[in-house]
Amino acid sequence: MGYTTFVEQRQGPLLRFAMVLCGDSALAEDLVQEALARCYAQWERLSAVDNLNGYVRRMIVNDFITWRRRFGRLHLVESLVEPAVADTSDAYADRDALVAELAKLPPKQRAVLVLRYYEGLTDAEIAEALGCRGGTVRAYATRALAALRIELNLSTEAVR
Amino acid sequence: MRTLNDLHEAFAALDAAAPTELSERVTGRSRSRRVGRVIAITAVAAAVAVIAVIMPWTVERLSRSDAPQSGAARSGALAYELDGDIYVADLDGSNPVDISAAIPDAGCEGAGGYQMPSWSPDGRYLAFRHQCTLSVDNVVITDPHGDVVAQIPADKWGFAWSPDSTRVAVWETFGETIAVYGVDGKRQASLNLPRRMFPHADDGPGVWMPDGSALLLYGRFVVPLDGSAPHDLALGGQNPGGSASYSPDGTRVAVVTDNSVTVVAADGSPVSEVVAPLPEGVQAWSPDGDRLASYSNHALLVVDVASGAVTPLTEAVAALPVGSRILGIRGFSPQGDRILYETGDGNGLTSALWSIGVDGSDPRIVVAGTTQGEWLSPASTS
Repeated sequence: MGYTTFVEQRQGPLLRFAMVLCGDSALAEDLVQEALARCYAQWERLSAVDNLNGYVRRMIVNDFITWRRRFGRLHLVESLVEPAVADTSDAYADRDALVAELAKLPPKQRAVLVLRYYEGLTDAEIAEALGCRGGTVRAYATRALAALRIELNLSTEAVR
Repeated sequence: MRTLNDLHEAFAALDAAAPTELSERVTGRSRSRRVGRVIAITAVAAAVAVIAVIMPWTVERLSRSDAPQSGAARSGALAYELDGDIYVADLDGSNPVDISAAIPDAGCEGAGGYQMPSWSPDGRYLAFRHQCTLSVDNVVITDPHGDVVAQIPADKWGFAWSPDSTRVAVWETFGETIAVYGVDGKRQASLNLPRRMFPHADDGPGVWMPDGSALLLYGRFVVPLDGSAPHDLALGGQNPGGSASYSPDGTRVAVVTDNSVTVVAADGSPVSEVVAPLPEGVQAWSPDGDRLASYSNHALLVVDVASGAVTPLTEAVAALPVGSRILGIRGFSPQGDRILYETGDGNGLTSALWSIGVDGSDPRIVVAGTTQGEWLSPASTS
């Protein structure tokens, strides 16, 4: 697969993933652009990678976490406000509140939730993507779900 | 109480708001500027790739032509990051000096920032990350006053000082290749990692083995600098079967498994065992190697190496503002009488460095607004 084909096929899903990850469309675009630009520079080597989509996704997660470490404090208010104005009905109020609370999670906790419940990765895959142990992934997930006051379906969690 | 379905709906709402193509949704900036930025980023990345092919990494020397002759910082000096700047202060956080203020912010148009300061073991240098875009990233080495010695190209996150303070290990390509640079900015080695050693524990490219001959990744894998094959750590010929952490003098090793911490001599002979698990592993050794530090949700934990006894310092948590918790241990003071630890609520709003006596006395805030900092001490965690 050539670089252009890869971008054409994957930029949409990667943008949606980045959006869910960071909750900010402009930042999502930046994250994907930066990742794809770096892919272009290394394309000869990267094109042979077995799971290139996972590799790029990992670049995006790493950049998001780094970005939050450096700039997160400065942009926190923007991140909180933007998702909350999309809907006004009662039916969507709690969802929007949850979106706002997602934005307040530490970046690795948020990344764990997105990779686990949006991307459907296993804890081992998440550990590889984030550069941490499987136990750390479970700890992040537990803390994040507790912070969001989300009740676990224990039978679902137990099979992971 | 919410359910996971609520979380899926929240993700779906964000998903629906996502742009569909990079070029169709440009908010807050002109399209031409964005396109120009992509071209610039790609051009820079391509240029870097070409340079990497035709010659060893070149390192920009910013302000000096020779290795620095400056003296070492005083023992116990605190280096920390605050709002993108690097400060050096006294052990208690007093008398801070912004040592990064005068560093040329080349190419960043004032938007650059510095983070993750780390003393060389001899105190003659500070190293910290410099970042001005998501992809332009390197490690800056300065003397204790902020005079730049070298800049080192580096991929993600961490870096590690050698025990003799003459070299720095960085990710050349995150998870794949480690580069070792001298403080003169010249690359000395490029080490390829087997796939099984992909990062799964640490941000950085490991820590140095005490003799400086190899890097220890994730407390388990030894990567020799002479280019020989990376291999599993063996203590006394035995695979320790856990994550290992060497004492400052290199004579003892704490091996962390799920249920216990075993302290052994470097030859593998047993010293003691801590039965109570340390959920966050061994975070720091005291300078004399007599104590270990770790933490839980409820306390800072001090382990007596000889007896294996764990002393929980609940005062370290009780003193924090509501909602804050311990996020990591930054090391012991040079005298071994205090411990520096990072705290916060996890979203950066109440970040602070605190210190406490090893007996639980006198918990106090050292610097508010950051979790990145360390004392110049044989027991620093870098």
